[in-house]
Amino acid sequence: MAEPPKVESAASGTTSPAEVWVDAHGDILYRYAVARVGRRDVAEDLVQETFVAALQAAGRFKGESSERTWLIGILRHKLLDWRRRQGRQPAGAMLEPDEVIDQWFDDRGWWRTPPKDWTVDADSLVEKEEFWAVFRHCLDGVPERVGQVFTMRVIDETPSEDICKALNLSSTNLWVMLHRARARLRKCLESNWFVREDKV
Amino acid sequence: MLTCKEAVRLISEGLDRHLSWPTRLGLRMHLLMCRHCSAYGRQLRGLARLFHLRFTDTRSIERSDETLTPETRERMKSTLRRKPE
Repeated sequence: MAEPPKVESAASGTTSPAEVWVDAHGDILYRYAVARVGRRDVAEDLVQETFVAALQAAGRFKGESSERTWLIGILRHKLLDWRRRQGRQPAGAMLEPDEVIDQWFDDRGWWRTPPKDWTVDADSLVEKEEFWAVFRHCLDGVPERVGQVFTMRVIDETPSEDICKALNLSSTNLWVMLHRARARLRKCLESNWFVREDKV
Repeated sequence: MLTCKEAVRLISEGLDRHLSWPTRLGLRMHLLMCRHCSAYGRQLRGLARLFHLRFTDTRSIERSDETLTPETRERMKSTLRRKPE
C-alpha cells in the first residue's frame, strides 16, 4: 500500500508532494489521456486539471488503492466531463429514427443488405495501426451524439450509469444509441477493412 | 417471431445488460434460423473484445511512449505551487 500523499503548503522554492506526482505519474496519466482523446493539448489540460483536483482532494485519499490508481480515477472524471462538453446538442433530447440503419432492412424487418462473411481476429488486430486509422475514420462517420456515447462507453470504458447521469439519458436511449453506433461501425469496418482486406 | 431488425438491436443490448430469459429465448430461436443475424452477433462480439483489448487501462498506457515535455512539466509544477490548498 502506498503512503497517502501528505500535502503541506509549500513555501516557494521547496518541493511539495504534489509536484512529485508530476514526475512520478505525469507521463502515465498523459498516455492514458492521449490514447483516449487523441490530442496532445487536450490531454495535457486534462492531466493538469487532474493534479489540481488531486491537490484539493488529497485529504480524501484513503490509501486503499495505489496513488496512481487514485489519480487515474480522478482523470477518468475529468475525461467524462470533457466528453460531456464536446456534445453540442443535448443528448437527452428525443431520439430520431436512424434512416441509414432502417434502409438495411425491408418493410418486414428482414435483411436487405445482410452482413458479409468475416470474423474478427482480435489478437492480431489490436496493435495493427492501419486498422485503427480505419476505425477512427469510421467513428467520425457515426452521428455525433451516438458517437459520443459510444466513445464514452467503449473507449473510455465509463460505466453506463455514469454516462446516463452525465448526459441525462435514460438507459433505454443509451442502449439504442450504442446499438446504432455499433451497427454503423460494423458496416463501415466491413466495407473498409474486413471485406476489402481479402483483396489487398 | 423476432424480425432481424429487432434481433440486431437485442444482440447489441445484450452486450450492455443482462437480457430477461424470455428475450434471450426469443433471440436464440431467431439466431438458430437466421445465419445473417448469427454472423452479425459473432462480428459484434468479436469487435467488442477487440475494443476492450485495445482500450483497457494498462494496454493504452503500455503502448505509447509519449511523454510530457519538460516545459509542460514545469508549467504544471508551478501551477501546483500557486494553488492554495
